[in-house]
Amino acid sequence: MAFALVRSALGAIKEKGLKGAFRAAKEEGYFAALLDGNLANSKFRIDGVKLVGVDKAGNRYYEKMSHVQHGRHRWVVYADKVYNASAIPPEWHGWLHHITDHTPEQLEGLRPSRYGVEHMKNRTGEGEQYIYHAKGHALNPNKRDWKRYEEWRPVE
Amino acid sequence: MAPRCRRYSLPLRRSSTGSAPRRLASPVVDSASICGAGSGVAAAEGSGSRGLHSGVAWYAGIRGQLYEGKGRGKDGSKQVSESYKWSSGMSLGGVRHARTASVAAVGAKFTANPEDCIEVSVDGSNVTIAKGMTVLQACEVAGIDIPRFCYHPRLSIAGNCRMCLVEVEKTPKPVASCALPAMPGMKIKTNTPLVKKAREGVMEFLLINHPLDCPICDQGGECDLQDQSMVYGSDRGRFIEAKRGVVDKNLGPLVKTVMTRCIQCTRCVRFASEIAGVQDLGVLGRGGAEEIGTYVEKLMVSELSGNVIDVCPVGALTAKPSAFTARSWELKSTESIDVSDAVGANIRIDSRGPEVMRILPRLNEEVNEEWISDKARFSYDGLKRQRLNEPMIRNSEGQLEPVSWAKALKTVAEAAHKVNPAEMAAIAGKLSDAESMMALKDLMNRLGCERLWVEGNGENADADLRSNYLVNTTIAGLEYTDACLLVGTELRHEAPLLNHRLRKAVRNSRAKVASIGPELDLHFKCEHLGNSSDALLSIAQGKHPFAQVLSKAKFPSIIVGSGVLQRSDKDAVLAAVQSIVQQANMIRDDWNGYNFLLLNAAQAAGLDLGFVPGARAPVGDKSSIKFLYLMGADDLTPEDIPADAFVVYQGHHGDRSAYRANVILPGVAYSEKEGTYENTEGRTQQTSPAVPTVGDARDDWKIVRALSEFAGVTLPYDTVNGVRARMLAVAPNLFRVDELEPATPLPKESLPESKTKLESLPFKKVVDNFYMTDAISRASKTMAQCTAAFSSS
Amino acid sequence: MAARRALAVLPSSLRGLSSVAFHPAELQGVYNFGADSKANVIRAGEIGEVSGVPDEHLHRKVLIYSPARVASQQGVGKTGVWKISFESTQKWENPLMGWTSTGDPYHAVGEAALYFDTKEAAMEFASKYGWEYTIREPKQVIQRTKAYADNFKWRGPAEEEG
Repeated sequence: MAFALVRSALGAIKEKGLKGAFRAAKEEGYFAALLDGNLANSKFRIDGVKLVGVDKAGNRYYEKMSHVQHGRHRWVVYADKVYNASAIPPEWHGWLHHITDHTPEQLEGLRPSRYGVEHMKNRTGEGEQYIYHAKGHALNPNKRDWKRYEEWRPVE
Repeated sequence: MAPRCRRYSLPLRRSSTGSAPRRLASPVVDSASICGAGSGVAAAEGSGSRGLHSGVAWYAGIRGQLYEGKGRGKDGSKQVSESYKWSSGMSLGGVRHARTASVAAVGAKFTANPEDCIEVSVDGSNVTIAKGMTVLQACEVAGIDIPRFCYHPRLSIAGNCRMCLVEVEKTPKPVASCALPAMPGMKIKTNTPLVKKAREGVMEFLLINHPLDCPICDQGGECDLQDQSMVYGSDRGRFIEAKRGVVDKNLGPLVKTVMTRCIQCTRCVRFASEIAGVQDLGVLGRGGAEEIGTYVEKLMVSELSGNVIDVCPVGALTAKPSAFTARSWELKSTESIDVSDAVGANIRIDSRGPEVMRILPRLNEEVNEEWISDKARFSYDGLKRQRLNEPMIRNSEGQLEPVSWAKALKTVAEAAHKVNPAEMAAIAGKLSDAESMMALKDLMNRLGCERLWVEGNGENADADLRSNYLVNTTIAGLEYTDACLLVGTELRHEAPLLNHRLRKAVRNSRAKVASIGPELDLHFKCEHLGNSSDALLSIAQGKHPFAQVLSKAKFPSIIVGSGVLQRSDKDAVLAAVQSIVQQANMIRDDWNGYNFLLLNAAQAAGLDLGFVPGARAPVGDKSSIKFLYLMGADDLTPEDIPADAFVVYQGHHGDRSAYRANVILPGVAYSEKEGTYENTEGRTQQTSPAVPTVGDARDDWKIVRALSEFAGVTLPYDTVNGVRARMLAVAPNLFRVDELEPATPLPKESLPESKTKLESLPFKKVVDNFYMTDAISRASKTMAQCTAAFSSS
Repeated sequence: MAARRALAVLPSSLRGLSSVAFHPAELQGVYNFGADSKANVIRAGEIGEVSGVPDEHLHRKVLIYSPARVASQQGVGKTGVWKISFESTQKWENPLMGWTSTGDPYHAVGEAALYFDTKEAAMEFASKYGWEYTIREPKQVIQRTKAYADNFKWRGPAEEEG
């Protein structure tokens, strides 16, 4: 493990130069990982850390089964820097919260194909167009008229 | 007494020790006192006077037969004079009400002569019942509800569901109570372990093949099987084989079928053959393969077909138009009156929020029993379409544009003052209530106009003699006729419920019915005597064989259709009818067989209120009309209305006349107002508002009242009670809601002299399409589907 | 008030005949409060006046009726009670969610809660609150004698079934 790490670091230095490799390592959080155990586990994958999977949005899911406080053995590293817990799709949510031990790949057959919709993260705060307006709200582009009768209009 | 919360109170009436309510319900005391005390006095009163009282006496006789359970004996007059006390004696009214209160709880009422009564014991307490009643009926009189599926009080007894099993002392096995006649001294037990076990067995068999789709079933919440399985059903099944499935049948656009749910009670089969008179439904196969269906793919063509939905105890037959729209417990029910025809069937409007979700019949033995026609039941979706919701004025470009109420009323008032009163006319539509007709008549009279009429009555209706325009035999009384002549009426399309009563007479007592008029299968045996007034004339002259049938009959009757009013030789037809009436002696103290069948809900009240052209009004030529007030009237064709006339249309639907209107004043439909209607037999009934009005619409009489203020001839009432007080002055019977005011039969010498000669014209159809007769049913999609599906018949 | 004025117009002989009863002021209940034997007579409408109910709801029009059995079921368990229902049609669709809104606090009261054992109890309750009531009598069911044997009864000479 450690050998592979050194090899990839040398490879990066060779490719980008020392300064460039240093900047890249900083951006990817390798130095922050020195202070953060979980991050370190996910970055360096020492001690039996396993990358279980990556979802569509690029969130990475890790697991470490030994030498870890119980309940902290599964975690996610978000793809976005400004992250939001709602970015986790429901199929990974189950795995991450120990609802199931199966990963989405293993559960693929159970996916509702007919009525299931693609997961979308909560876009609150990202602009007016993402705010939910009730069906009768004035800002709802498809504002619905609840009138339960049809009025007569003379034919023009 | 404080109101009690329903949830926490236990009904006392079903406890086995509750002898007090049962003693109240026991009818023998009441009927003995009535029959005994009443007869002597009434006979003296009733036989002496003719004229005013004889009509009342006849109606009292019918009421007596209905509620007393007395068969019509050989001496009809005695029967009538006994029951004459019924309606006139004040003390009797009190007795009747007391009894209503006590038996309303068990929902059953019976009375009989004391000598025809027997005593049986039900669960240890004695009840007195009429001879010939079944064990189930005895239990009902005792206030005990027996579970049942196949038994229906208005159908014949089938005895095939076996749910009504009870124990009778000294019988080895439980017996089906619906089919077993009660015998004197019988000891019936309904709550023993044996009974419970027997019913549980029946229930288990029924549930073997019944699907578990209560959560998506439209009958859920008001299902007899669901309710009874709560008591007699097991919490687990022992049936591990596959359930059966049955192919759904197509019964047309009204009745939805889910035949897998069917429990083969055969109520629908019996309804179709006994009530509707169509032999379409039947049972196919035996045992597990038994199915209800039409033998070949066929629609059920009957004006009463919707009633199979009510008759079905499970969700096998449900309403197609209201399928999957509401659950029964969400609905608010309002008891009201149907206005789609002149029978005035009692209905229950079920609404959710501002929407009418469905319409169901409501019990009234004297009018509709518990049936309603398909138009009454299913035309409610028309209430949601084509509604007029704001006042409109035709502007200078000829377009209708929405305006305020004040502006619309001002425009109408100005237009009314511009024309000569002789050039004004007002027509009340088919669905107008008495209050708005009263207000409109007062307004037009104050403006000097006397040319008013109600749609269907036409301009030459005769409102002088009330007995000339009512069904004097009464709707319930028609069951007792033994010979009936129909003149110019298609009874099945004009009044399906009346047709059903006549069918009952044919079925039960082999009444002979003949018809002169458009030929139509009435679903019972009816001799068609041609469609010309020649046949009428030959009966009137006594030459026709049917004249002998009528004069030999004990209770002969004649029904004249309102299409006669449109004929130019109306007087001659009525004179011929009157001579038939006299020859067959149809109007007697104990019987009034002369009936004039009205077509629309507004007609009877309009005639009672004198909503007819006054003496000075010009009649006939419509080209002189300059100002025309249409209150929901849509029958005039655009050619009838002069091009320069100012037309005001007040109504709830943008129907035919709205296109011609200069001003539109939005009114309310019958489901949204409290209006008084009189049905074709002279019974006053009131609708109740079930849902809110749409948009800016207003009550019709209020619109007229507001208009009177703009026109400077303010009407002297401004509350609905004020209008009713005015109605009381004009036609007191319209004030007595829920009561039938029988008409005084006309004395023989006052018969109308025929000025015209009977022309040999055919009688015209008055109902082209049963499913679309008024503004509401014309706007209804369901009715349009019915028209398409049933037009071949 | 208007109703009473209207009633005054009627001939007194017709009042008794009418099934419409206009808020009869003479209908009074006698109650005993507390240990003293002095009877307190409650005027019609008095309870309504002290109840704090807004004035516009004190002279409501109500209907006292006994609901009919639903035609689609045979059980009679729900019949025989008396209800007070308020004539309430002030409803509209809430423009935001489409739910039914109402401006009438009583719109569901009659539907949900006001059940009475007798007509008289309902009348008394209504008159205590000063409601103008109309009574609608329930329609009666008639038990006709019928027998299973009627299915095989001879109904006169043979004719085709009508």
